[in-house]
Amino acid sequence: MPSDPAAPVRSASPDDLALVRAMADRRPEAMAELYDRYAPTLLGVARSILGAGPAAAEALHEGLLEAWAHAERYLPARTSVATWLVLIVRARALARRRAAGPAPVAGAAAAAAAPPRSEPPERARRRQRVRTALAALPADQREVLELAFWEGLASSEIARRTETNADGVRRRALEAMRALRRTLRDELRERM
Amino acid sequence: MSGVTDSESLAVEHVLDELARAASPDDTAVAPPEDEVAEVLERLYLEVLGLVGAAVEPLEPPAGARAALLARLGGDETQEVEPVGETIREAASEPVPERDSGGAQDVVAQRTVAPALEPEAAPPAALRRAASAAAPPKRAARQSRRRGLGLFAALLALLALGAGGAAAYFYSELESAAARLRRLERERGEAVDRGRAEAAALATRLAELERRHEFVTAPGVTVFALRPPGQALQPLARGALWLAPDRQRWLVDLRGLAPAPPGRDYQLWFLLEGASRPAGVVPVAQGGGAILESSGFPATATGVALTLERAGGTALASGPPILLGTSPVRL
Repeated sequence: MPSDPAAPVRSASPDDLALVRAMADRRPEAMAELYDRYAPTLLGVARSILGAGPAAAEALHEGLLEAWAHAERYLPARTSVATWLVLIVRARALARRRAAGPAPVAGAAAAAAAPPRSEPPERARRRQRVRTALAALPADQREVLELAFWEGLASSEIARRTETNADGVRRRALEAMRALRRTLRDELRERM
Repeated sequence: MSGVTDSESLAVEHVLDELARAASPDDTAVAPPEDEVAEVLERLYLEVLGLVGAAVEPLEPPAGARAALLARLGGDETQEVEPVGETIREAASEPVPERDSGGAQDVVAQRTVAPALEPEAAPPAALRRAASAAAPPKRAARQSRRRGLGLFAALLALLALGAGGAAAYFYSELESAAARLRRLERERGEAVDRGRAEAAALATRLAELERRHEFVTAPGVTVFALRPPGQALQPLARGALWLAPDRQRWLVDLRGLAPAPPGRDYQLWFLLEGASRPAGVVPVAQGGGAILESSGFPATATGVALTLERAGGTALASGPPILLGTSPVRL
């Protein structure tokens, strides 16, 4: 499956799964192709967590090396390749931030402040649809998702941070994800 | 779907907790849960959260980062590799335009155009004259000499043939030019026809993709996520069957399948209570993908499966399931 987390592509080029399989066969050209497809978005994710500076690209570098080293562990039934890579790089970025100690949360807003990169219009439109869907969520629901994704907080920690209980966190997350699932059906279909 | 709400809630909780275990590489490769519904829902909601990451603005990585990464993959630890941090400090967040593929396109365009520019057989006299008139001085002089020789030969021919011969000569020239013109027009017509046929094929393909897109994104569509069972014969295979809300049409999209061995075909099955019913033979493309769509989904079917059977398919499934989907989720 065809591409960028913001724009999966189905074309004559090898699909993401084939590339991960080729990585498991230790074929560097597969990593090169995945890099070209995903590195900009993955760097955006890392920078959203770590802010401007070299750490974001270092997290990208580490994350992709990790994907290379563990390509055989990738489970297609578990996540799309796009999400797998996003989660790996996000994990690396969060680990770096935790190691560095408390710091201001960058979040999506920091990445949004970065200069936009030239890209196909459809890819930008897809990203905008995701942003619009996130912005349309009630603030308390969006907060739960952002704390989970950008901060890596567990339900109990989110509950403390938002001054609610675990049930409340679960309910907000469920409502938020249901809403996104409905609104972003096209994007999800590409990934399922 | 009864029980989905509870399962959904649990799936969401599981996904949130999984995201919280962010520091260890292994956390992104945890084994799927035992419960199939939970697995499908967790996959769905992991993808939803993955989209949160897709909302960020992409950034072009530093120029040296790609090379540094690929150098590490080759295991060449002795190679001088610029530290990633250095490359980042250089590039900061400056956007870099996408790679310019215009040059390659130009080459393709030239290759496409070149045959049309190749000289063919001798052009008609009128064209030769026009070309001579436009030729540079030296070339014009050469052509002028040649034209003089040609005219001299033509004059000799006229003298030899007389007035009737002259008419025949000019008629012959005219015939030759007309034949060439007809040939050029025929070739142009064929090229136009080829172009139209390709455009029509692309339009058909596009319409087909749009129709499928409409189908699988229609409200109320049910999806059976197909995945390898416990004892996976092909652990990287996967797929999904999309069932229309009226259960009259379905589409299955399979990926990552190994080529079918000689004399064997992949076959899709509807799973009913204690039985299975053939749903069709699935031709798998070279890349391991396949799309099959059809009408009619048994009302009592509770799942779908994919097996390898003898070529052409069988009435009764004999092979072990390669993919299995028994937990439909209504989108």
